[in-house]
Amino acid sequence: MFRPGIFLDTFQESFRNKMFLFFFIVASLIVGSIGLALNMDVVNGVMRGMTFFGSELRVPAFSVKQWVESFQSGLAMFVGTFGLFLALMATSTLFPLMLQKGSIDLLLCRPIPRWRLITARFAGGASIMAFNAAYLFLGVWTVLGLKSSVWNHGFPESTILAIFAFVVLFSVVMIVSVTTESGPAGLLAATTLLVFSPVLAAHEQITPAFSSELYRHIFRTLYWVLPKSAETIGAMRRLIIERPLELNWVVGTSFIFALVCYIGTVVYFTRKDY
Amino acid sequence: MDLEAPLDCLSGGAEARHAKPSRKHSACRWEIPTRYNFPMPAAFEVRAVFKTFRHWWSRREVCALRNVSFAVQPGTIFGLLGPNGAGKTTLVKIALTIAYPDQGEIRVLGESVRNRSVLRSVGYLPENPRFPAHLTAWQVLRLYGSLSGADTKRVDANAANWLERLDLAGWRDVRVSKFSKGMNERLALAQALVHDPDFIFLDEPTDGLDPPGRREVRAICRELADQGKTIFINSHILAEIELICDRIALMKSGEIVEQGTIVELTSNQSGYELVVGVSNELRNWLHEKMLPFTAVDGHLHIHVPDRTSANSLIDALRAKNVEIDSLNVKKRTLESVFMEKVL
Repeated sequence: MFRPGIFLDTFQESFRNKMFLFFFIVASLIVGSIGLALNMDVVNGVMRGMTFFGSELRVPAFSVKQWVESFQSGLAMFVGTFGLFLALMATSTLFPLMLQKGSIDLLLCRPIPRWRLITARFAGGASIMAFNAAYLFLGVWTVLGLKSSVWNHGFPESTILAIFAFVVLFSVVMIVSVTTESGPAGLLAATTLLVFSPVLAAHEQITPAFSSELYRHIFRTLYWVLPKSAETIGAMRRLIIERPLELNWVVGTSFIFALVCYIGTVVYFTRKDY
Repeated sequence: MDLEAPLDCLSGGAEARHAKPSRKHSACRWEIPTRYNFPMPAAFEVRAVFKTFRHWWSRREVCALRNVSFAVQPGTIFGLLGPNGAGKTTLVKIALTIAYPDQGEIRVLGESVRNRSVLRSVGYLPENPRFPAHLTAWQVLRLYGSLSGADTKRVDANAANWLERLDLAGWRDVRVSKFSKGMNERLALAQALVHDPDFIFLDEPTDGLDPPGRREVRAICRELADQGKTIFINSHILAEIELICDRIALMKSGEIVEQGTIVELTSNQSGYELVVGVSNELRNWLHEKMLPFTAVDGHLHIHVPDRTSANSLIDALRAKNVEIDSLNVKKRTLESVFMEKVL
C-alpha cells in the first residue's frame, strides 16, 4: 500500500526550514517585478521603449517577439546555471538529514522496503524544485504574455528541461550523499559536473589538442558517460528561440546516467547496515 | 514450560563450543549448529546469528555477534545486559532489519524478519532517537504511526493517549526541536507504542529520564506485559533491569554468556563471611594463612569460598579461642554476576 509519509515529510521539512519559501519568494519577486514594474512601449510590433520601476531602459530596436524571446532565454540561462546551483545546494542536506544516526533507525524499522524510503525522499526533493520552477516559468510566461501578447510556447515547455537538468544532478547529489553520508560531498560532486559540462560539451574542439590518443579517448568517454547539463540548458534556449533541437541523445544519455545513479543508490541503501 | 534445556544448548553450549571454525567467519571461529528445536512458539527467537563488520579500507574485522541464540517467551519482559560494545544494539538492529546478519535467523512473533510485514507489530525505541526537528510531537506520532502501517484513526487515538500518559499533552503542538532530552525520550517511547505493537524493543529506555519518569516507564512496561505484549529491553543499567525484567541474558563480546531469571542467576551462593573481633595476632595469622579479609568498624570480615573452608576456619579460630561474632552466607547480586561473567 502506498504511504506518502516520507514524500510529504520532505515537503513539510522544506516548508519549515524555509527552503521552499526562499525559492517561492524569489520566483514571486521575479514574476511580480515583471508584472508590476515593467512597462513596454510597443509601436507596430516593435519595441520603442521600456521602463522598469520608473527608469527608462535603453533597448535595441527588436521586435516585441524578439525581445520577449531574448528576455525568456536570458531568464532560462540564469535559472539553468545559478538557479540550478541554488536548488542543488538547498536540497543537498535532504539525504544526510535522513541518514543521521537515530533518525534512520526510526525509518528502517518500519514495514516499508528501503527502496521506497529513498525514492520518496528523492521524489520529494525533486518535486519541491519542480513546483518552484514551474511556478516561475509559468508566472513569467503569463505576465509577459499579458503585457506583450506574445505567447511563446517554447518557454513553458523549457521548464521540463530545467526540471530534467535538476533531477539528473540531484541523482548525483543522492548517490554521493547516501554513500558518503555528507551533504557537502554530494553538492560538490553535482556542482563539479555542472561546471565541467560545458568543457565536455566542447569535446570536439578540445580533444584534437590532446597529445595522446588515450587522453582523447578518455575525454570522449567522459563526455558520453557524464550528464550533459550544459547541452540541456542550451536546449532550453534553442526551444525558446524556436531553433531546431537534437535532444534525443542529450536527454537519453543524461537519463541513463541518472538512472544508474538511482539504481546504484537503491542497491547501496538496501544493502547497507545502519 | 521447560525452555531451559534447548536454550542452554543454544546459547553457545557444548556443541557449539567444540565446533570447528567456519571458513566464512574466520574472525568468529564458530560453526553453525544445524538443528534447533524450540518447544513452544516464542515471541522472539534468535537462531545462530553471526555478524562481522568489515572495514574494507583498513581490512579490519569486528566480530559483533558470534553464534547468538536464545528465545523470549510471549508476554514477558526480557532484558539483554552487557557492557558497551557487547553487541546488544547490533542484535536489535538485525532484528529490525536495520542491519543484516551474516548468517542465522531472527524470528519475531513467529515470522522471520525477512518478511518485513512483521514489523507492523513491532515497536522500537532507539538508543538516541532523533526526530525531524520541523515536526511537532503530534506530527511525529502520526508520521511514524502511519509508516508502521497502522490505521490513521487508531494512530490518532493512541497518540492522544500516550501524549497524555507520558505528560506531553501540553506539548502536543510544539516542535520537537524545543524538547528537552527527557521529553524527547518520552516522545520516543510514545512513537514506539503509537501503532499498538505486540513486540517492543526498548534500547536504554530510561536514559535521560528523571526518577519519576523511570518509574513511569517501568509501570508502562509492566502494564504492556500484563496485556500479553512482549518487551525486550537493552540496557547496562543493572538496577533498572533487576526491577523490571522477568528474564535476562548477559552478553559479552558478541556472545550470550548467561541467561535465566534474576533468581536463577543470583541463587548460587558465592561463599561465606566470618566476622570476628580485631586483634593483631589474628591479623598476622590470617596473613600467614593467606586468607582474604577486610577490617570494618573494629571487626575482621574473613572471606572463604565454600562450606569446607568455612568449617575448617571455624575450627582453627575456636582452637585459638577467638570468638566468632557472626557467620553469613554470601549471596550473589546481579551486579556481582555481571562483573563475574561479563567483565
